[in-house]
This record gives sequence, structure tokens and C-alpha cells, in this order.
Amino acid sequence: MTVVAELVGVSKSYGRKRALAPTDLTLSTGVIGLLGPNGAGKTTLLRLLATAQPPTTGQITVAGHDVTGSLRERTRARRLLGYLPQEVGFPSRTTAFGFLDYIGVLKEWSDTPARHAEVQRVLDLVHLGTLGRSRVSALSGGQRRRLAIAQAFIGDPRLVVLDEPTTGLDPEQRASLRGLLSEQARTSVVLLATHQTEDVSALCDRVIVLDDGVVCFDGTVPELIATARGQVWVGADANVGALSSWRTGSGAVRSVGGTPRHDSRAVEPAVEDAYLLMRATTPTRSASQGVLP
Amino acid sequence: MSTDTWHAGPDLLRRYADAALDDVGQAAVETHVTRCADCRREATALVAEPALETVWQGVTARVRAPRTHWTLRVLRRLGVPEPDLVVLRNSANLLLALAIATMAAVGFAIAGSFLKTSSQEVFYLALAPLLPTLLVAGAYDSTDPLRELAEPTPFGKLRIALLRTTIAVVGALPLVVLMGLVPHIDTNVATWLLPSLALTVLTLVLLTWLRAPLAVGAVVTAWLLVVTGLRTSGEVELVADPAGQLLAAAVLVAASVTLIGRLGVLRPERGVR
Repeated sequence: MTVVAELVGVSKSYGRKRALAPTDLTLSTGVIGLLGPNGAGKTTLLRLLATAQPPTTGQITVAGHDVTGSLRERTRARRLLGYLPQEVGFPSRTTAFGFLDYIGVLKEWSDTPARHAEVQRVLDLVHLGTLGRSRVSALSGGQRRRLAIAQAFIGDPRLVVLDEPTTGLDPEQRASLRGLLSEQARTSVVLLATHQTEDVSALCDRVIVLDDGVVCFDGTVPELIATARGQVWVGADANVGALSSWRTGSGAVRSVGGTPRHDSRAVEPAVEDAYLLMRATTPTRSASQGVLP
Repeated sequence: MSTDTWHAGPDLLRRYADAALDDVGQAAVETHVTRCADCRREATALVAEPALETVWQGVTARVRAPRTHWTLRVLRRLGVPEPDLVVLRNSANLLLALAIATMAAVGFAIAGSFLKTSSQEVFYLALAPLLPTLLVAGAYDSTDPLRELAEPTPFGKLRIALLRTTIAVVGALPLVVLMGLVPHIDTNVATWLLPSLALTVLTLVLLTWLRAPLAVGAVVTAWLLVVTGLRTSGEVELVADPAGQLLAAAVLVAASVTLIGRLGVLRPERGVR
């Protein structure tokens, strides 16, 4: 695995509100999932890495270029980046091809035939190859999301930063996207923020859990799951003091945390269980520290 | 079924597939290949699959590329580079900036015409040079729906602003000329032209470091302080004097030199793609 990006002592505050505590991270090739509740600082972290905003303190390097240094260095880093924000607004009356063509220009693809071929390549990647001439306003929500994802892949970037890419995609499209991301991750870092824990378990080599602007877990999926082993139970009734419990399709009640009943049996936890338990055991937030997304 | 009795032969077809023949040779073999199925089959096998794929992608991309508006086609004929045309095609918010600038210009002219002649001078001096500055800021940082996507790309945001500003100014020019024809308005163009240019270029320089609201806010505040100072000391005419004009010209030159230096730092890296 090759190190592509590094954060050293990076923090971000908006006025007096801290969104990200001083953080050190090293990002190597592979798919990295970023989990955390709303307002945990996921989007802040992604925007910092994507050079969409400067950090309050610390240093970020992408492929050796210090994005917190000179504009020249930041520009060099931007040539290696692909970024999907949480929400993408599209210019009115633009077509799918025209939108990607514009992003291609912004990514310095100045040779028109080469840029058009690249646009067609990324359209095909997200299975929109035949909809290039369609107006974006005529596309469905899922198609628009795929179009937004496609722009992040223009130029085969070394660092792909995706903020909730699977939002609005149906299961088939999500499975297809997983294939695309895992393929890209052979040579790049793919960092994605998501609320879909099944995406993390199916796709990610590494998971980072953020809460209140602090990294509270950084490891592999099996390591995350291991933190919940022995704390997830199935029985006729919910555990006493269970953090979360629900009746499954078989009629048994699955409990996360709490004291098991005599007829309960421990089962293999999932990423979601480990995440819930981790959230519950995170130290109490300081009242003086607000968190922004 | 082939009707030709002559065939191109492997060596000739190889050179044809590699585009190694001269123009006449390429054309001759191509004419033959279009009529001779055997040679066509053989030539197809000689062309590497990735090359065919590239050609096909190029064809489909060409077909699916967006149509260019006639105004952009005119600009293309005038030599505007293709990437700049793509930026302009996606600058729908230009219309908004242009509409705001136009309305501001009309409102400015009408409001000024109601003032006494003595106040008109200060009024125009305070506001006229700031209009292009506001226009630049509007073109740079207006309600661009793609701002969040455009920000982390290597393409110079200042270049986008300059392109949009140029088009907006050209579009607004007829209205500005018409404004000069409104009775009782002495716009005294010569007086505020140099300060106006100096402030606009100064704003562009600041935009290479600061976000648009900060850059524009700094320039607007500084200029209004200057005008207020001149008004208080009763030296408004100083702007029209050679000394005042010379000072504005000096600021313009200094800002232009700085801007050129900054553009050199920010320009796209050639040969990256």
C-alpha cells in the first residue's frame, strides 16, 4: 500500500466552534470508510482533504504536496484529486456530457478530443454512457447522483474524496458503485463518508469513526467488529438496559449491549452494532464545544 | 464479396494501419479497402483494439458533445480557446451578474440625474468606479451552483472571473453608452475611468489571496474613505487633477504588474493532460 495523503495536527474551527480536533492520519491506497453521526466532523474532514477549505491548524500533504502551503503546491495537489460534495448543484439547461465536459476543463483537460473521450469513459463507468445528451434536469435522482460521482473520476485521481456517494442509489446501483470504487482503490485512496454501515463492511479496507470532531476508532472492519464481540445477543426478549433492540424477521429479539436474559445467546456482531456501541461509550461531549458539519 | 483482383498485401496494409504512408498512399489504400472485403478484414485485424476503441470513443464523444450556442461559435472564430468557451457555456450565472450590473447602471444614472450638479460629481466619483469592481466580484463568486465542485480544481478561479467579467462587460457596454446619452448626466468619463480601472485590477489582485467578499469589502471601504476624505476637505477636484490621475495610473500599473505575476503563478500547468 502506498501512502497518498497525510494529516498532521489538522484541526478546524468555525469561529469559536470546533468542528475537528487536532488529528493525525495517514491515508494509503484502498477504500477507507468514514463513519459518524451527523455533525461529527466528517464533511469538515473531507472538505479539508479536498482543499475546499483551509485547516485552522496543522499540515495536509497529498502525494507530497503541502496543500496548506503555497497556492502552487495546492494546485499541484488538486491535479491529483477527485471530490464529490454531499450536494451538487447543476447549471441550468446543461446536459450530462456538457456538465462533465466543464469539470474536465476545470481539471485542465485542455485537449478537446482527449477530454471528450475521458468524459465518455467516466459516463460509461457509471452506466450513463447513452445519456450524455440528456439534460441533467431530465435525469432521475439516482442518475444525477451517478453523474456527480462520475465527475470525481475524471483524470483517474490518486485521492478520491466522496461525501455520502450512495445516497439516492438503489441496491443495484450501489453494488455497481462498490465495484467501481474497489477497482479505483487498487491505485488510489478512496475515502468515503457514509451512514450505510453495510457499504463499509462490504467495501472498506479501513474504517475511521469520528464523533464530536474526534477520531474514536481507526482500524480494519474485523477490528471494529471485534470491539462488539460478546455484546450482541439474540433472545426471546430484549436485554435489560440494551442500547438498542429490535425484533428480527424470525421473531427473536436482537439486543446490542445491556445485560442478557437467561435464554439469550451471543451472536456475531455487525459493523452497525460495533458503531452503536462505540457511540455509546464515547466520552461525554464538552458543553463548550459545538460541532458543525 | 470482393470484386477486386488486386490486393494490397500485408506490408502495404501494415503501413496503412500505422498511418505510415504518404497522403496519396493512404487515400489510395483507403479507397481500395472500402471496396475490398478481404483487405478490409485483414486491415481491421492489423489495427490494435485499443486504437479502435479510442477512435470509437472519439466518435461517440463527438456525437454526444453539447451543441455550441451561436455566440460561442462567434467567439471560437475570433480565436477564443475551446476550454474558455466551455467555461463560458457553463456560466449561466453570468446572466444574473449581467442583469444586476445593468440594473445598477440604470439605477445609478437615474438617481444621479436627480441630484444637484455639485453633488452629482461626488456621487458619481464615489459609486461609478466601484461598479466594475462589484461586477468582477459577482462574476467571480456569485451564485455559481458548481462553486463547491470548482473550488478544489486546479483551474484558476481568477481566469474564470476574468472570462465572465469580459463577457459581462461586453454585454453591458451598449447600455453604458446609452446611459451617457441621458440628458443632464455629466458622467465625466475621463475623471473616473482611471480610478475605476485601478480599483478593478486591485480587486482582482486581492482575489488571488482573499475570498471575494473580503476582497471587495476591502476595496469598497478604502475607496469610500478616500472619497469621504476628499469631500470633507473640499478637494474632490483633486481626482480630476493631473496629480490625482497620475496617482490612479500609478496604482493601476502597480496592481497590473502584481496581477501578471500572480497569474503566472496560477496559470494551468501546460502538458499536464
